Amino acid sequence: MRHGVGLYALALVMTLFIGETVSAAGEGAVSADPERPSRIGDHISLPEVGRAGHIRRHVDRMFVSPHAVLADERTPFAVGLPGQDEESPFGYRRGNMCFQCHGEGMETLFDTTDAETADPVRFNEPCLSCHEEGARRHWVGSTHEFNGLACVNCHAMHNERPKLLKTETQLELCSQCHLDRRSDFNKPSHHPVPEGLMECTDCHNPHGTAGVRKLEGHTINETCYNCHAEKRGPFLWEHGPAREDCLSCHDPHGSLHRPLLTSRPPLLCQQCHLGTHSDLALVGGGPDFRIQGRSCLNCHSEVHGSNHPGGYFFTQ
Amino acid sequence: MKTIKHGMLLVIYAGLGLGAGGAQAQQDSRTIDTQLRIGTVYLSEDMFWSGRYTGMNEQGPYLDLGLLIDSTSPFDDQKADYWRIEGRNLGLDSRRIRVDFGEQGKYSAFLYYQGLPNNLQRDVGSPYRISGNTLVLPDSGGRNTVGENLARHDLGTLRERIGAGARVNLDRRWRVSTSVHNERKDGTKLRGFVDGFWVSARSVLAPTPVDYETTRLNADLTYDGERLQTRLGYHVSQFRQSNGNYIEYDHLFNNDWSTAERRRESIEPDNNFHQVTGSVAYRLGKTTRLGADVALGRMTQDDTFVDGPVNGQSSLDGEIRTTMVNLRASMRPVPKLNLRTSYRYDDRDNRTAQFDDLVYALPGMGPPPVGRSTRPVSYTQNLFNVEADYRVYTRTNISLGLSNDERKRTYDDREETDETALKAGIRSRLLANATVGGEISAAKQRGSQWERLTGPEELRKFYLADRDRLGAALFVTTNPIERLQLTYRGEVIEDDYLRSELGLQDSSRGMMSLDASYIPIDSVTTYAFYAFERREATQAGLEASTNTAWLGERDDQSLTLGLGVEYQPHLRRYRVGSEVIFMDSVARNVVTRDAIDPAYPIVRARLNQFSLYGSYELRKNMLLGLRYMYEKYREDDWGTDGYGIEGPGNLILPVYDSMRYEAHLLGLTLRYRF
Repeated sequence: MRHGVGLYALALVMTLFIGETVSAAGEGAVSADPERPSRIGDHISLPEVGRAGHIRRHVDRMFVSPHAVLADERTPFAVGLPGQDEESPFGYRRGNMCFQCHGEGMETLFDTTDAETADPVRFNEPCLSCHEEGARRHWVGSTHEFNGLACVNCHAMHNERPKLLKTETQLELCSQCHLDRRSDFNKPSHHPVPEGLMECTDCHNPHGTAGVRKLEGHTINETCYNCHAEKRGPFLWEHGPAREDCLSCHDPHGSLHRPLLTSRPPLLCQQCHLGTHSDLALVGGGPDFRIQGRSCLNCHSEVHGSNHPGGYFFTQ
Repeated sequence: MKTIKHGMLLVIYAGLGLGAGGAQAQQDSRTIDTQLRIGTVYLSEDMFWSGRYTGMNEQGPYLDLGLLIDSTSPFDDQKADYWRIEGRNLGLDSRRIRVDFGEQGKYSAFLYYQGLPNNLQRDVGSPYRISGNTLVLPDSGGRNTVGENLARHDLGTLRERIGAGARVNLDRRWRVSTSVHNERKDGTKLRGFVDGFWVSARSVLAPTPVDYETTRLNADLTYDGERLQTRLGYHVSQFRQSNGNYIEYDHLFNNDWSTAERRRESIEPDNNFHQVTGSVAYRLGKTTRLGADVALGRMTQDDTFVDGPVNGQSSLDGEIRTTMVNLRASMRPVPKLNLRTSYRYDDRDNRTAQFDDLVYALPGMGPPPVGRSTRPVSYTQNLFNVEADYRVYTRTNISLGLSNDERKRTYDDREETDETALKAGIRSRLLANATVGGEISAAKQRGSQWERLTGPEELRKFYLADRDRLGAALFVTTNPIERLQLTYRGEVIEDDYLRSELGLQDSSRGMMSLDASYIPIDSVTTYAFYAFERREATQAGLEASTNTAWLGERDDQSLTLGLGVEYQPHLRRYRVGSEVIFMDSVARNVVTRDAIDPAYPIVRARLNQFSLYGSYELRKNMLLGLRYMYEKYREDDWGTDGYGIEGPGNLILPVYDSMRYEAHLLGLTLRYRF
């Protein structure tokens, strides 16, 4: 009953204000920021404060989101055409609106901060009833699902941002849990994610994939080859670990050693190659042409593989 | 409750104007939202850290230009069509413009252009001049006058991408989508060229042209039913060099460059990748979901050999077949229990013919005394995983997991490796204002007999070696008071290569991070973050000539600190904010031999950044933004700093030092909404 009173109050507020806010959707203060030439806009997202006080805005936002589009028969706001069944082929009643996700009595408010009621399975049900397809095909059984994440942990349905994300950038969102990524992407060698030229989803699909580590490619290397196809081969002379796993030598999120190397040569290479090169370590106290510059790569420049007949040592 | 619902529906309908004639009235309310951003940014000095990838890296003024044109039907229109044009960084090399259009629920399409600069070094001195794919030395010079014949180069590349794609919903269940992307990468990178081998080796690092393109095409057909979802896809990727398959260069170690030999080195060969993929998922009852994925690929490469033919062949005719099969199941037999299991088969079948007894002379040397055989690498992985998660209390879950990763390889020191891993975790929200999670894990990798092809016999490659791994992680999120949120994450992984006499002995990675967000009053937001990571490793080596053992110790540390505050009073026209970022990363390598500890000098990078920004709403549709940033960056790299062109001994280095600068950025921007 407590909810019921709240709903009537909500409905009253909407009746009074909804017309104004919808027609004003394209006006008002400049809100979008299409240009972020530096990273200073990458703020950490803040906990939501005063949610109850912003309930009107919360409801209004629904009508600039894809979920409220009446002409799209897949949305819960679609009212259907005359003669159509009241029951949508997508498994819900046409025009069910807010109740489609919040429940018949608005009993599900998706408050992830409420430890008493937050249940990822129940929270995800309304979403998956329509979205267990496409990029979410692997969601059930994925690492995020298995660890109790709910859709609303990352998405805010009352929202006009692309993909309905809770934050401006994917890095902001993902690094709320993957805190080490903030450190990684501040290292001297990193992919251009904080600069906004790449996004986490260029390599990963957080909803799960057929590949390992939620990678877009079916293997680690396949993912890397999307942008680094020159490393794909096959080559006449192949470097085994490079063919199997780029991560044998590279840390894709960030490193102290360019280009994204897990360690500094020659020690990186000496993990697997000693032989006649083993005395290289002895020159740590003084310069030597085999450790200065790019170290081993001064000579072995084709370390990913060589197609030159004389490329046995990956020098050509 | 039903009365409540119907009452609310009526009110919402009234509010939305869905009564008679309402829809018609809304048809005219379609808006085109046009925003323009124009301004200028001035850099007082070259700025590598913030400008490397944006293109705003050289001293001077820049145009700050962006636009957004968004046309969307009102939510209650009879047609849900839209189009959107967005341009970012239009005055910079990192410019991007994207066009999206479509009708929600029916189709969508996009076009884009994107520039991705990667500016590495400016004004690098090298005796080479770049002409097409040839590195030319001036006739007037020679080995002894390298420093007098320098040309200046900027190191860096620019990727330019264009792409287009579309998705069409054929009906309620079937959907087809396709996209094509083309990327051209152009610029200059450093490459090493060697003369001679081992004790007689001499090498030069020279700016080398990069000019190639990659084209990718994807096509998908999907069916999304209530229980069954399937997808059939095709992917092709084509890599092409723009200027042939080799680099030519004049031999630098010649005292008279006018008579210098011109040599050829191969560059990455043209190659193709085709892949057919399939995926099926089925919901069995309410609590079980089954899935399978298949990906069949074919990589080919048949580029002409540089300085071929060899062994009667002028090209490789290389082919690799890839097969990936995933089988997955996830179920909740009882509400408290969540189970998932998967099996993965990943096979790389290299069908390229092996070249036996291949004899070819290295530059500066004659042919090797024995022929070499190529190693067309193949591998097969069988990965099995099972995990269970059980809710022991209302707000506490425990989990257990077991996985086994078995791999077989060809042409390596060990034919088979087998890793078994166990993990256990807990996550709890027993405390009303905190979420706590933790996980511990242990893994063992073992394998088959070692069959090393080259010395020393005791060396164990780390990715094949017997290894024990222990891991632990802790995650805490808490709101100790209403307006404060703290998040902590700590993680440590330790690897012990217990049977490796030579090679990697142990390695570890420790990381801890802390985030804090505090909102003292509604108009003020503050935040802070701290992240520290340390990676350590020990590796053993052996000096072959003297049979003397050495031990190398690596220690990489990185620290990131950030602090920010923003003030945005309610219903006021202005907003101000400030942010401070500090980063310090240090890499230390120490090698010990015969009680002597010759340490490599450290590699270090430090960043101090201070930002002050604000905006003022001049009019309802006009916003003035002001931005100031101070950035101090310093790198120390013993590999290049202070050597000049001659380098140490037999290495000719390009002339540059690591980045060290202090720069100020000042930006003024006007955003206007039409």
